[in-house]
Amino acid sequence: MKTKKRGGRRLKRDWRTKIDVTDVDTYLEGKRLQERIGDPFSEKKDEELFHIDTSGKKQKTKKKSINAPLKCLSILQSTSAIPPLAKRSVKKYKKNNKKEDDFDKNIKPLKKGGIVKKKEVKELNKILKAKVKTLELKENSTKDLFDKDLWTGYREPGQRKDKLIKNVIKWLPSEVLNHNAKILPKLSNKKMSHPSQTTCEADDMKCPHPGLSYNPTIEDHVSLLANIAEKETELIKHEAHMNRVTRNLFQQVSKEKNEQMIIDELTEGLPGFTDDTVKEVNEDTSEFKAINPPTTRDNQKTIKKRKIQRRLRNEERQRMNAKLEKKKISDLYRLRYIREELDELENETNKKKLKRLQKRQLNNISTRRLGTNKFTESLDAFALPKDLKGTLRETEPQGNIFKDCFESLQKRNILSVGKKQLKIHKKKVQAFMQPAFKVTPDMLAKYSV
Amino acid sequence: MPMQKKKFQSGEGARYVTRRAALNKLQLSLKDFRTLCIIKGIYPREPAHRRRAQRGKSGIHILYLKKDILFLLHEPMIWKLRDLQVHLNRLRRAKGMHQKDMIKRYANTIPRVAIDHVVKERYPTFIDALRDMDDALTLCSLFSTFPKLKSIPPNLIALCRRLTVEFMHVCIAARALRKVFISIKGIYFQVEIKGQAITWVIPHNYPHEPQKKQEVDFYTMATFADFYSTALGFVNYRLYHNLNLYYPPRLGSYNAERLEEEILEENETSDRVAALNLPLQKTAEDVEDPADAELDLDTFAVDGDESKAEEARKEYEKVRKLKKLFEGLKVFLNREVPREPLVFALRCFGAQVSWDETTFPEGATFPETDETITHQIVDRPELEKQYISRYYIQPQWVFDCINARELFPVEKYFIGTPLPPHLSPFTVEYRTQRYVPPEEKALTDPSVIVNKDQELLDEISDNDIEDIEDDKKESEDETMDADDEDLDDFDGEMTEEQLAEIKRKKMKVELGMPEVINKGKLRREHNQMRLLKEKMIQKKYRNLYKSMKSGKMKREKEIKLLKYKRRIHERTSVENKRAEIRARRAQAATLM
Repeated sequence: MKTKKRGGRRLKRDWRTKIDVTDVDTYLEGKRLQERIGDPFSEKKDEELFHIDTSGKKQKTKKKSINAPLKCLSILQSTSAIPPLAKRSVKKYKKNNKKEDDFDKNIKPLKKGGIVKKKEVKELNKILKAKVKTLELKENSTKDLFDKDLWTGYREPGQRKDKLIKNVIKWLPSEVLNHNAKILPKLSNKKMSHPSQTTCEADDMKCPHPGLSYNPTIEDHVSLLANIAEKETELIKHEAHMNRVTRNLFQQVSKEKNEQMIIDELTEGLPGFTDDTVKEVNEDTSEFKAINPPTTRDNQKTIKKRKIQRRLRNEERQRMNAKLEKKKISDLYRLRYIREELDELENETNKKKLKRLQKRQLNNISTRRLGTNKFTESLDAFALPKDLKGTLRETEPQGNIFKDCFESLQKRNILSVGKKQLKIHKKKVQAFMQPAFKVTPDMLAKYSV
Repeated sequence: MPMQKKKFQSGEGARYVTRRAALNKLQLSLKDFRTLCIIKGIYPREPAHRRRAQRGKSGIHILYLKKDILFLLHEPMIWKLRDLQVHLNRLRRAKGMHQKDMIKRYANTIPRVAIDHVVKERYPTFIDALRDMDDALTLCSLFSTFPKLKSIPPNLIALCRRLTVEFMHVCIAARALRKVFISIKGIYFQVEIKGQAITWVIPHNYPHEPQKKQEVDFYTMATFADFYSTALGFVNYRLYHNLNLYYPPRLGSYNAERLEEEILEENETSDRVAALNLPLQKTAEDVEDPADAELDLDTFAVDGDESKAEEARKEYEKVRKLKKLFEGLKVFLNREVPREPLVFALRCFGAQVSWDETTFPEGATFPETDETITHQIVDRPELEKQYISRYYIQPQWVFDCINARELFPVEKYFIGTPLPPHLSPFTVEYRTQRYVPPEEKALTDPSVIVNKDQELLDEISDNDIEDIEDDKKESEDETMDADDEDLDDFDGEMTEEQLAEIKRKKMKVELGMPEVINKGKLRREHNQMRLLKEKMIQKKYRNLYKSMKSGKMKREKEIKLLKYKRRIHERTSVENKRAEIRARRAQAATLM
């Protein structure tokens, strides 16, 4: 046994040099090894180490599967019994162990129709009564989508801060606010308000025609039908007009004739196609004539005539110049009148501008054109007299409310009128068949189908 | 050289942006942009000068105000939409890769884009929100009838159903219904809440008819419905709390079994709530019932307009009576009657309602065999087993009573009888001068009684018919009068000689005579005054006056003609009937 070295143990240095800690170290080392490779054999029970072979048969050696790791990789595997350190990068999700408050697993619906034992009912009622109590206690903790009053003046505790800031803003000068706006964006007083947009007021949703009643008076019904007939006749008239202006302007030929005409046109002048029997007639034998032939000696102007023309031209120019000069002088006198005229002109343009503005405002009320397509009002729903049965049970609903809603939005300039989708675009899915599943004619023959 | 001014840097060209430019600015897909615009209430605009606004480009582009787009840029919802897009992409990818756990995780954590703040922003006050409830209710009640469709999120339909039912409940609790109109399109309801009239349509109870996709853009409408349903939810919340009711609604009393079922159903509207037949539970006791609520109206006029104040007082009195219209009635609905609108209409005015349990499983409070039932609503030509203690009437009676604001006699609405016409309460009186048929007059003024055929038979004798002819002559005379009034001066009731005689006896003391008013002379003077006034009309208004006058004459003529026609029609029908009776009597005599 070693004798203890004398000395203090106050400092780290003392421990390092003077005190022997090897026995502690070895003990700890052994403990760690034990942790790594497991318990020592001495501590293990017999059952863990041995087993009694009762079958007496030779155990088949397992064939190595392809998926098994290679033996050379076994070095890389850890032999330690200590579980590896957890990955630090993985985020830990807190498991939500909270049970749903509303649902109790003990509560099951009663069997409908079948016989229910009195005892069961009693038990269930007991549970439910307790439930009701708890529910009544937790009145305010509803998890509804709509759980607050949007339009109340009361502020929740969290919102109070905003109010405070607003109050502070009130007395701060604008320079201070602007300076600090970069640091505290909340301080900035600028807040965009919702752009007010006047939509078209006209909305027939609010006021249905009295003739639309399921059991209308004759007058109302007649007036409704008259309205619709008027619109319809207008449409028919428009259509007829369009036909007259477009289709009827052109001659129509049958398909065969058209084809023949095209062929004739394309083979014009080709040998073998055209009839050579028709001879060229009316061969023009007259002489060539220019539009403005050069002057000849016969129609030349005389010198006298030229002189006269020149003199007249000069005189005209002089007269015009004199007139201009005269006007310049007179304009000097007219100067103040010109000012008046200008004022008048300005007045007139202002008036026009005002008128234009008013017109634009009027237009804003009505339906406007927002996109490529123009809004056209569809005909209102109506029932023919024979369809009006006069009782609620037999009335057949007419019209389409959904469409009305949609069109009302378009009418009020909320939606732009889109193109009518005549085709429904479906994605084309290209289908392939696995070659193994393909059925060939010789296969059919093989199975004599 | 001065800085050259560039085109479209200011003015209209700078004020508008195309949709494409807006998309680039906001960095959103077209789909998201559309959704955002609908929810925020930003609509495209039409510029005054399209060419300038489109920066010289031809054609027609969809244009937005640049200011509006900048407003959208500040919306925090845009970030949510972007997140949602990313999330959906991940989900799509997981689906493509068949990663089941990932699909489950992503599908469960789809972020919800909250639009509460937008509702508050678009409707700064509660009244603003109520004003826009027309569209919201129409759309929500329409969506609630839809089956599960591909282009509409499934929980939206359930939510719409829940909210419409809740709104109806609150209308019942507040007794807010004012007008009902059954049209061939659907049933129009008008309620009055906080002085705002809210009108909406509910479709007739028929199976869903597939809509044509080319007519309506489903995706757009679903977005509208999304916004409106949120708005309606918050409106409901406020309405319920104003009336001291629980929200979400809690019905009458707790029943253990029922409650359990409700818990199991969770989000879906329970049938018990949808039945509309049980009173809502209140958060506080001894609260004044809105049916009994009384308002002390000022007796003095506000702006010195006495007649207006009087009118308002009358209207208020009428509405107060209307709120208790069906109080004390016990109504049973037959199977063939549309349940929901009728229960709503009846309960809004205090009736007790029940129905056959086969039509709707929950909420029926009493069976058909109950002897205390006062009215049974039937819509079939005949019924085999009838109780003596109750009236069997057709559903139109309920709606007509509501529109007329009083209980009608039930005779006209008995089972199997042809109904009187159902008039629209939404008529706008834009023409004061028009022909009002006696049936319509009777609706507004109960003192006018429509002549029944039998009465006519008794009343109208040959003399009357002559009278009618006289009337006609008179009317012709009147028109003649109007033409040449200046010519006939001596057409009065009193001649001048008589007047002179009266003057001669001036000196004597005699019994006092009532002052004689020469009506003809008065009329003539009046006419002359009118003519003078007409002459004083300024030149620029003269044509207008002329057209007004001619229009008035025309309308008067029309009314006269229609009245005349009606009398002729009545007379002929009476004569026909009389002839029939005579023939029958003659037949009987011959048989005797």
